[in-house]
Amino acid sequence: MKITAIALTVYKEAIRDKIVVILIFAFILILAFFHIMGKVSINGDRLIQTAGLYCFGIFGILCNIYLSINFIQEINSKRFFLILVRPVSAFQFVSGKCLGMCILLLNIFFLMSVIWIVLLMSNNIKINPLYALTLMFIFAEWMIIAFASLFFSLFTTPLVQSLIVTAFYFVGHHSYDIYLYSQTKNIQAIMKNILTGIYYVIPDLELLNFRYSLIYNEIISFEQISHALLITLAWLFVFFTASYIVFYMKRAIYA
Amino acid sequence: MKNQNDDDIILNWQNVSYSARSSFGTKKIPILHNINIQLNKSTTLALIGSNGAGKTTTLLLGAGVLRPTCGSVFLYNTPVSDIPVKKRLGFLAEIQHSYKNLKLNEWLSMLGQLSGIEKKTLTKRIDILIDLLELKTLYKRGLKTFSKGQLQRASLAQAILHDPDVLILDEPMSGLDSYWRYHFTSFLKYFKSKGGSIIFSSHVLTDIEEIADYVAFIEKGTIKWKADVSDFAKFIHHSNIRKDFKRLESVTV
Repeated sequence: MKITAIALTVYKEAIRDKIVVILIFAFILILAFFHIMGKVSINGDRLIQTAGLYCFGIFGILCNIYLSINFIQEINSKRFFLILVRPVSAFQFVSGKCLGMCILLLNIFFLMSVIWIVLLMSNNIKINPLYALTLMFIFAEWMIIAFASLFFSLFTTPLVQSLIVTAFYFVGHHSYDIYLYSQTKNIQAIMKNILTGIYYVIPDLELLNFRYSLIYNEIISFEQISHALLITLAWLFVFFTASYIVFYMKRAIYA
Repeated sequence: MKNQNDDDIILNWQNVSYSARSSFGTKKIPILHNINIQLNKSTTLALIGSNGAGKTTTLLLGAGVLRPTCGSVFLYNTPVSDIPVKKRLGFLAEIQHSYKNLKLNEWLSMLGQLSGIEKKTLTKRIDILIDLLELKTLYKRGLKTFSKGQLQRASLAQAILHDPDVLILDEPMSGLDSYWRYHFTSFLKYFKSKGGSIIFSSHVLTDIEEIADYVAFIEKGTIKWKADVSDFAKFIHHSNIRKDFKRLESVTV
């Protein structure tokens, strides 16, 4: 009951904010722009597909920045003192926050997906099960960023948090490239260790990226899907546990 | 100050010190030093002191929101940071930072659920409190539309929603009009008569004289003196404030 109470507060507090409406409106506007661009381009269908898929990534960052800034403000404004004085455990608090973010992001993601699919259908693009799979793992990417941003928001400022979330997304999509670079011969030992460390600390979001497979109609193997699923669950668990530990340790020291 | 029976002590600050950093990487600034306060059953203790003396920090430590650097705070002989004991504590903050997009009923319902109240009981208690604090017209309105006084009333509602034994109130009369000041005072007296204990901070001397049994004076993070409220009047009488202002008259503009 306590977890759902916190989750619903996160959801209601965010969904009634005009920023969420603005984000969805901006998504529609960008898609409309690419729809028009698609009409005047060769292979315009692919443009709508690609733009839509990458918009999900960018809007995932924006939604998560918004949510984590909300959380930082909640801490800074001491709004959550009234929660801390109540018999709520760190586990319940972090679980509630995570659940609330999941519900909110799922709502936004679902709405954006419907808008995009309708646009694709209006352009006579055939929708196959690969779309559902690709979208599912884009949402998994949103969730990993959300859980990570909750963790970082426990000890950062809004500006730093925005930079971290953005960097997290882009480094996450290139972490394997970073790893490959770290394995080249002409690299210093310290740099090699740092780059390898980055690869292990930041989730390899490319493992969840099936955008190319969707665009080029490639077959996705069962191993790829199960690997992506395991990676998602593992990182969600890591960031949830890290947030729980930090919150448990910090619980009584907000000043 | 009367001798306090140890069995009656509800909330106990034992050699509590607290320091905090003003920003990342800076040295810790001492805010409270060796605070010893005992709040007994069915008594009201007022904390007074100038701005920045450490009243709010003392109350936050008492509410278990902050962790002391040294010493401990006990509620019913249990560390106040223990989760189950928090059920018995009601807290009203100085500044009401509410969730701006929540409605009053949602906010109260959320806080009630977090206090572990069953849904049926919670609905009944919210209805009664809304009625008592004359918040019926605001029941389904967003908290961001509330005035300071309305928020203060809503905050009192959340503080007593779960029927606590101890109330920790940081400037409870702040922003209230005289009508609600009177009602708050009456409520606090009623709460005490029913066996509740209250610790509150205030700058309004008439409130202190009317509500408090004891007064503790904090200056620069230490308790300078504790006394019966009757002794407090003598302290005020002997204050040097008039003399201090006379100095100002010597330099005319």
